[in-house]
Amino acid sequence: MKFSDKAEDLSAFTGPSSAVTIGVFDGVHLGHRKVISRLIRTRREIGLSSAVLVTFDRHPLSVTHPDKAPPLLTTLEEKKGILREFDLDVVVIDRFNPGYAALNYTEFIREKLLGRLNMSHLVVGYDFRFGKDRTGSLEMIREQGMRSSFEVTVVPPAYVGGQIVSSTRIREQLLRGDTEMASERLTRDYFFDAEVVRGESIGRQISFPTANLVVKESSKLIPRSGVYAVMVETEGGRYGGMMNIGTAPTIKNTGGIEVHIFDFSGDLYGSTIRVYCRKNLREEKKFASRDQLREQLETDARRARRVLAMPGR
Amino acid sequence: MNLYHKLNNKVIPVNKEKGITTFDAIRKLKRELGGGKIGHAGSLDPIATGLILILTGIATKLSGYLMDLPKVYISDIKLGEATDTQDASGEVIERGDWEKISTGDIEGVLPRFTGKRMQMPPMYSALKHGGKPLYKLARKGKKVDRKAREVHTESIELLSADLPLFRIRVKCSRGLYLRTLSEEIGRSLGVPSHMTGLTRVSVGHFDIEEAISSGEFDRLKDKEDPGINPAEALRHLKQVVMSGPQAADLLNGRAPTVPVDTEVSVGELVRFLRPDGSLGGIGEIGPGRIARIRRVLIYE
Repeated sequence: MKFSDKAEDLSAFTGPSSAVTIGVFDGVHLGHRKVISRLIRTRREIGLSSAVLVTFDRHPLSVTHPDKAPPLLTTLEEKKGILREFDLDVVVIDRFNPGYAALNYTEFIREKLLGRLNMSHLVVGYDFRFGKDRTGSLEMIREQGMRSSFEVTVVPPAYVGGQIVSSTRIREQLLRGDTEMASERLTRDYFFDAEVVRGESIGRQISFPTANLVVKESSKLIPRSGVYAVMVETEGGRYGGMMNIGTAPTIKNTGGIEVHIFDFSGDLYGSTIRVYCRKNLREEKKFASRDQLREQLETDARRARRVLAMPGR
Repeated sequence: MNLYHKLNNKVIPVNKEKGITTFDAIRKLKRELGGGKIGHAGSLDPIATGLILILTGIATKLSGYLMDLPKVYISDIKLGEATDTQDASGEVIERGDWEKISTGDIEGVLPRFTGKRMQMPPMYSALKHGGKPLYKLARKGKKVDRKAREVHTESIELLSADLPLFRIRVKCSRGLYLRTLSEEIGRSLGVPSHMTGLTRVSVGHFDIEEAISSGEFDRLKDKEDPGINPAEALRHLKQVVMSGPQAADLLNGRAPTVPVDTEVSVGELVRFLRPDGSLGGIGEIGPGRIARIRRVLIYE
């Protein structure tokens, strides 16, 4: 698989006739996977020279309507990591700047897909719209396909529990703490990468030492505050743990993310870990005393260990 | 990539050992492969050695197009004895004096067997009579009337001689029986004769040099890309390179147009190549450079 962020001609990588898909693919969820599988199948069945995925270096709304830009399910680096699982030939990361956003749909297809990528087959999700102000509907794309001789395949949505799988819905689910609904649609537990920083070491005083986490990517979505059963990936291996997102109201009033890692002793300061949110155990609440807090944490830990012992995603 | 994927959808040139049937060799390869479709493009007698083409997966569809390729054999012939099977596996049924024959005599008669002619297939052959292979009838001592078949022999060359033995190289089309040719050559010299050894050294552009021995199939797993892919296996046919939409159309039964700079004649076979270089199908040129589809390959 070849990653490219070059704006110019990529036909040396795509060969004479490529199958192309394009989209934000935030989260690379079940619906996205359906589109990508269809792209790869199309390439193989027709015998095209490559399967190409085009995505953007940031969310388009962060350029066109910054006030409406959603938090991201996957950062660019995370998305690239997930896309590596697929049998794609080329992944193109286009800079989504105002000039790029200003192309109308015919210009966009001609300049960015046909000439640059030798596209002969376009595979898109049912809700994709092209060009400036999303004016290029799928009908219009099909018409242009007839004129410019490329085929268009529109992939219908994926459903879970009778509901269309969409990035917007998954964001809503995570923002209300429903990690299990989100996991099912993402086909994996929602995760974020965070750096371990020095905290006030208060947890240690009540026998629940925690790592204080800072998420470097400001655009990354953080699930709703609360206590979660989590899996933690460190350089040294994978561990179970429990995480608190929020303000730790009993002890201090600064917001933050802390994770207590089970059966772990060691120094993680300065390292980056990946946290997979398996299950939301409870909301955050204030306790009258540290003893009450410790009791509750012991209950949480038992529940978390039980949850983590079950097969996850 | 596992061995199945490395070996599937390929033409695998195999050097068959003496003493095993073509089907034995196929069975051995099938065991290495662990399943899937398998076939061949022309068998070789157990006593013969040399090149057979084993076809796997989608390449089994090419059998008919590889079967007709010209073949080159090296055949050893012994003068002075004829056998019931026309080769060394049979009983001697006739003896004669060979001492008066010179290598010059042999070279003198060989041209008679080149070009187009009719040849009577032997009783010991896999040809069917009333649904039964002739060799089964022959083993019971029966003889039935057979039809002579047209065969085309491009060249016959005397390679060496240590009389009563001599060795020839024959380039011929499908259907020629080398055993029968061995006997025919003797007869034209007035001496009984039979074939003592046979090696097939090439089939079209496939050469025994690139073949893997049927005794060494376990070595296939060490090869990066064993065998020959279908597009390359038909390299004796002119190619028509398709665009993406043409390749999609072919799957729907519409043949691509043949580019004007590709010289073709009516009746000629061409191979359709897909944008990724794989074989999409085979066509036959009709009037007006329009190709008719003979076969479309569907990859799973």
